[in-house]
Amino acid sequence: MSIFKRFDSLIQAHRDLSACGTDPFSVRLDRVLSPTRAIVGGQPVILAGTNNYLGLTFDPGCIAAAIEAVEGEGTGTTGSRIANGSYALHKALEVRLAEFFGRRHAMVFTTGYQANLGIISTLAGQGDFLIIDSDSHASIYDAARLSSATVIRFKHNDPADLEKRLHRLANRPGNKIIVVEGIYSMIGDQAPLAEIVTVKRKYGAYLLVDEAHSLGVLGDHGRGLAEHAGVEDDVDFVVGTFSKSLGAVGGFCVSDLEDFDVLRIVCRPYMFTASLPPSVIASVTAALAVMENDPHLRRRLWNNVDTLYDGLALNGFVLGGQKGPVVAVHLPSQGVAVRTWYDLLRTGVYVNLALPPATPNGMPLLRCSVCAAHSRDDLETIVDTMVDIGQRNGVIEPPARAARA
Amino acid sequence: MLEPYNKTGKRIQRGTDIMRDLDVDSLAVMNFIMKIEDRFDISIPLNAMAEIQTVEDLATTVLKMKTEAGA
Repeated sequence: MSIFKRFDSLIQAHRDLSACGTDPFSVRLDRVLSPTRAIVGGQPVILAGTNNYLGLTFDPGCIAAAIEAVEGEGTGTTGSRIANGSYALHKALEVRLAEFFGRRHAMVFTTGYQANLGIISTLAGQGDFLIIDSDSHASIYDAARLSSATVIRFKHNDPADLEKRLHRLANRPGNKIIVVEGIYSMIGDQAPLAEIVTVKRKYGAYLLVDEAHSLGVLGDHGRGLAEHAGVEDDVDFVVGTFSKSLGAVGGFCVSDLEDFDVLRIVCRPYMFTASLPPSVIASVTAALAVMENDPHLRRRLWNNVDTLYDGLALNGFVLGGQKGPVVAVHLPSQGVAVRTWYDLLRTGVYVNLALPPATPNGMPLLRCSVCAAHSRDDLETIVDTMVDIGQRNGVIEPPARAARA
Repeated sequence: MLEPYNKTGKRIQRGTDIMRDLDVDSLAVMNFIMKIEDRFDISIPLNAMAEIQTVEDLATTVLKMKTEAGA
């Protein structure tokens, strides 16, 4: 019997998916030309599913900084942060991150996934309670599995349900740690953070906010949902990633709590992996400066969000969540979703295909992400292409019937 | 409470395996568990979910949680 036997049903489902002509989960970008353009299957496509919200992957200053670092300090650190992998560059980035967030402490991880995995699993120990939103990212669920705390889920974005669960624990000893996300990655809705903070205070819990998709996107200075909601003082830990707005890879956590630095010698996903290469640290440091000094980028992003979101909504697409750089288009069935996704790709528009169980409530989604570097023409092409293909595949009404309705 | 999730028409008994016998997928199980939590005013930790397969397992867990809450 094959060791993969228990995946049989998944193997079959994956085969069925690929029947549309290509495997949606292993698309090859033959060549990426810019934040918004790539060659796929010999054809140019507009990239509209990349999380590259500020379009900094090709920023000349970030590229120059990365080149200088790779030439000056080599291709990799070949060691962990607690051994030979903490260079002056890593330390300087931590200082810069702490300054940016106005916090006392910052810790840099090798990926955003590891930042959540490490921080959450280490903060919540035996006898503690980890209280997570039911739509949490896989990294939060995996952290919960790695932790020895009791793990409780509350209904997605429902502060009343969170309160009920904290109330049930009111007489139990142990720390209570609430985990929410600034922007949820699949449908783009934001946590009701002010209400969550009220509950958190009432029950003396700790609060961690994952700002992976909201860093550089929300708040007057781009510090994320906590800034936008005006509750930064009540957020004990902010976790984030370098792989979205900052255009590279890596993760971080910032906090004001005393003794935070003990995490450096107890948090295993921080300790037992090689640190980020100098080139990545350098480009992220440069990208952080661009994000801070150029608020136009964020304004451009939000203008682009308006164009794409309103364009799709006006043409009858059912969109998820709140208006923001993650625009989730609801599709009626998996078959229609896969066909529409494939037709879009062949016509020159790349978006993410998101299928259950990765999506909430079993909804198949086409997940678009908006970039500050999209031109108005790009966005109009995306909308026109989606309308055309959406009509042909029965996702939205054809124009004649829509006009009559 | 489980009947609306039952896709098979089979009779639900103590030993019924909720996912396998009633063809309930993991997402529906989660929704069902949230209804149970509301009804009995408890939180069933994710850690305890792995051990719940049958209706009887679920009943045992609910009783245990009620007892813990009362203690």
